[in-house]
Amino acid sequence: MSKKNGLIVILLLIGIAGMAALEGFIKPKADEQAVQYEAEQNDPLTHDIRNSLSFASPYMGNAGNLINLNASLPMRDIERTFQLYPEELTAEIRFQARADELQEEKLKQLLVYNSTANFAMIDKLEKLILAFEDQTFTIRRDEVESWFGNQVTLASLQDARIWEKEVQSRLDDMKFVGDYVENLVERKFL
Amino acid sequence: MANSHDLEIFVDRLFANQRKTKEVVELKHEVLSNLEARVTDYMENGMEYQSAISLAIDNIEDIETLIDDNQKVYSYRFRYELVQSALIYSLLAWIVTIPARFLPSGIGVNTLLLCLVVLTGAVYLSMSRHLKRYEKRTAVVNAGKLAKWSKGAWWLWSIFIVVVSMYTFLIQYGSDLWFGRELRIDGPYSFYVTVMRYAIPMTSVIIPLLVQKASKLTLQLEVNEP
Repeated sequence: MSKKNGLIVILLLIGIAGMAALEGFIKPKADEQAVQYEAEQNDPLTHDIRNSLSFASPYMGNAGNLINLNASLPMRDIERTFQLYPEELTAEIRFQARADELQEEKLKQLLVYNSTANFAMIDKLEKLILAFEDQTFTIRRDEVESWFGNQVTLASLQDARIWEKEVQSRLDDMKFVGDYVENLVERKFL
Repeated sequence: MANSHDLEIFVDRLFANQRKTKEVVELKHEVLSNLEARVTDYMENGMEYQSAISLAIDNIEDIETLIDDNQKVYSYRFRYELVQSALIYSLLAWIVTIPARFLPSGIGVNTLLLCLVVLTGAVYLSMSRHLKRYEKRTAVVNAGKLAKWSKGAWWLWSIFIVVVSMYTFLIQYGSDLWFGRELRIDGPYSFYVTVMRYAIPMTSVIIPLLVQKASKLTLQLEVNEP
């Protein structure tokens, strides 16, 4: 066998081995990690708020920013549309899913997490409506501000460490979550 | 006796842009010995060394007209070795682009290169079987034209890469530049995507490499007739 034919055989073996390693091992593992990461980002208990911090904005009328912010938050896997009411400083997110299909406990955690994130990241947002096909949930900024008290301002929640301490770590406490939903969330059945 | 070193330098420069074919090498030796003979002759007739050199050089004709671009080569071997190089280059390009298979464009290019490997591999195997039978086949090729194509191919490829890289850069960072924002790469995956965008078009380098190889093969496979 000539030197060049030897080189061709070696290159062919390297290529086949590389392809097999990539398609048979590296890519499935990366896909698995991506699925796991996506599941973590869809769960308020494991979501990484740092992915949402870049969407902090003083204005609620920036539709692109609001869409991107909510695409970075839990429930990002649910199809949704947006309706903005700039005169009333209100944003409505219409989920194409039924709220009763979600576990009640998880739904409450999601309501706390996503509403607080929207108010923390968008300064001039006064009212948020999370509309599902069977129910709507309305949350107001002033009530959320009062809930967290003077010690923790909504703007301070743009710090990931404060967010984790004051919001995310408290989602395990179902009394905290239940009280938030009962006192701050106006729930309407359609 | 003339100082042959000065003349050698002159002749080397005269043939600097010529291909090193057997015919050209012979012509070069012929020109050098002719010049040496003339300088010796002029000096024997009482001329100064520098004047003798100048006069001899002035009388040299344009060598372009003396060199024939058409060259006889072993044609089957020429095609066989060209296909062999095409197979090696496409194998290398295929291996190099395997890590690009995380991106849709990477999968496309890598699969295309794999098809090229299979195709050139099949042609190469088929030609290998008939190599002994057709090895001595010859044909005349325009080697001068091939050498020009080789230069042209490198120029075209360089322009292509510059244009594609600039286009990629502007698509990625154009708005950041326009609004004076910082150019950012967010994390290792973003870095990988950015690198791949510039690296994938580079695989087209196999085209000028092949044209250059064809040009070189005309020298290596020249038929040396007695």
